[in-house]
Amino acid sequence: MPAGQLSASGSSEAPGPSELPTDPDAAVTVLYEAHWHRLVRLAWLLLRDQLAAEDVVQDAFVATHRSWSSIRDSGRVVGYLQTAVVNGCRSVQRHSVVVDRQNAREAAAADAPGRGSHGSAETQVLRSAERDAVLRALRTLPERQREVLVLRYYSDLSEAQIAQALEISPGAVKTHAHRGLTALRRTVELLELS
Amino acid sequence: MNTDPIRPGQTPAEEPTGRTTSRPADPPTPIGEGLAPVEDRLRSALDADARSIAPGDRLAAILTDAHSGPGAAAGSASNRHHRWVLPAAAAAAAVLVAGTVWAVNRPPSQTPLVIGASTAVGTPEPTPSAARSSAATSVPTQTAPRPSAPSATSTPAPPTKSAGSPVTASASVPVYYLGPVVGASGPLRLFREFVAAQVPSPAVPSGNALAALRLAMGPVPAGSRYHSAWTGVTAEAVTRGERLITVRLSKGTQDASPLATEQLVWTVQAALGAALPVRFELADGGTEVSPGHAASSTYTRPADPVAVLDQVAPIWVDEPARGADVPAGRPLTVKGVASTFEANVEWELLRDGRRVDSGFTTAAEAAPARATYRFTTKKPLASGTYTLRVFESSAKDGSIAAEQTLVVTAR
Repeated sequence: MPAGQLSASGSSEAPGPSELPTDPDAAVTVLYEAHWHRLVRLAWLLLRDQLAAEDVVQDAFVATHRSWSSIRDSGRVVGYLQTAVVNGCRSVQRHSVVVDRQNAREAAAADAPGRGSHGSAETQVLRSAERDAVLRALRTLPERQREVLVLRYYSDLSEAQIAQALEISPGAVKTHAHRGLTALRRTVELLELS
Repeated sequence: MNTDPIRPGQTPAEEPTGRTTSRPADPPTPIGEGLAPVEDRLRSALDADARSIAPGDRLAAILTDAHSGPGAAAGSASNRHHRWVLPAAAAAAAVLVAGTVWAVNRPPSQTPLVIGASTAVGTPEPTPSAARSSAATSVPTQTAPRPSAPSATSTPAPPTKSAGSPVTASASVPVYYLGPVVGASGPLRLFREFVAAQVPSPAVPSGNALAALRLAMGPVPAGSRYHSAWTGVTAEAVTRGERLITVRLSKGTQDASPLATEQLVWTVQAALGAALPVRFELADGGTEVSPGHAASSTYTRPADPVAVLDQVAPIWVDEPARGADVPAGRPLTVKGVASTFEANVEWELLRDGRRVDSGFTTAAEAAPARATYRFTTKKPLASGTYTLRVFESSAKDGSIAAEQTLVVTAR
């Protein structure tokens, strides 16, 4: 079953082209079932705005649909989606966000349901001050470091896959990961002291 | 897939060594021993944070959008598809279009003000004709709790490594206003708006929070139905501690609105992005923040949805901002938060008091939950001034149960 294989292989590189339907509607439906939630969550981690995250991933799926035959032939379907999502997030931050929206987003994190510290009772319990501190520290990192860390520790991508998704060299992935983690270590050490 | 999230209670010492064996072909970068606990914490924090949202369903919107073609205008496909598919698809198209405009209009240099780029959320800088936004931009920052840097770029930024982030002097901050749920009278509830404000530069959260509080306590926006409960009181400082937010006011208010204190609590928590308890300090030594609200207590927003509904209005509009300029010649996308019966959200657009467009949509969840909604007007907006009204009408008798209105100008 294509859908089963897709979700089992997760973000790793992809099913052979022959496993996905040639019809773009059918293919996008299969891909949506397998990857929509995870990609929206990936975008959420990068953007911290659920609507914007859904918009970005929706655009990525629409783009996949429109160029389906060539994407299918490339054999790099999930990688294409991931790249489109990361680029889409970056472009949202560059263009629409400005400081303005970043700020709106922070507020939304406190306000809207399912968006952060003011959520259901369940959310409240799951969320600890520690987690918040780590996520806050993550948000202060430069964009590339943040992207590398999220792809690595949320999406569980390999170094080569991250390099491909971000269109940078594997060496740069290594450097960004190391710098990002080193910066976060300070936060974690503080937490351990307290 | 991240199928093995670390449990919250798991200590770094228990880190299993087998984690990497399930990884795809090439092994991850060897990370120094000292970073392993950081990896664990990060992994579990990301996993928990990712689970805190429930992505909405957009398959239908994706397929609709994909078939409508890259050049199709948002409203043009309206006859071919199910009505409930359209808002999302049309909105997505509008977002694409709008994103392009932002990209084009964005000044190439780092500019401290967000004029022209703030169509979606902020109100623009005051112009002679935009008197209603003047309250928003006149917030003094001189008495900010930290050394407030001038907006020149020479001030060294705090040690964040975000290279290239612009120095800012204007930001959109969340402000809660007290207003009647319907019409001009009745019990007051809280309405959140995003308002443009001058904030210290480089931006610090407490500076934004102080600006937000001053807007909440200042004169109400022109044309709004809001009530000001803090006349004559000044917010002097905001301090965020690890477990507590402290707000220093010149004195308490005598205004008897039951939610006056809550108004400030919601505002400061939103502006800081943290639902920590809030303590008030009154510079004049007073004992009540507002009537019945002792200064010796701490306050926080309720977590229970029903209790939330007792404090906040059922319908908020986040975008466009009150008084914003919106692009003429294309449909208007509106986003907000609602808590209504069966999630129903109705809207109409009025020009010179006459209805020129209307429709309805649904929020992602029904009351008592609060959830986001969005819609796009059916027709492009001709240049001019419009009143946008988003409301809930009673299923029983059609009377209005909740509403929010604001004015925007299409240019």
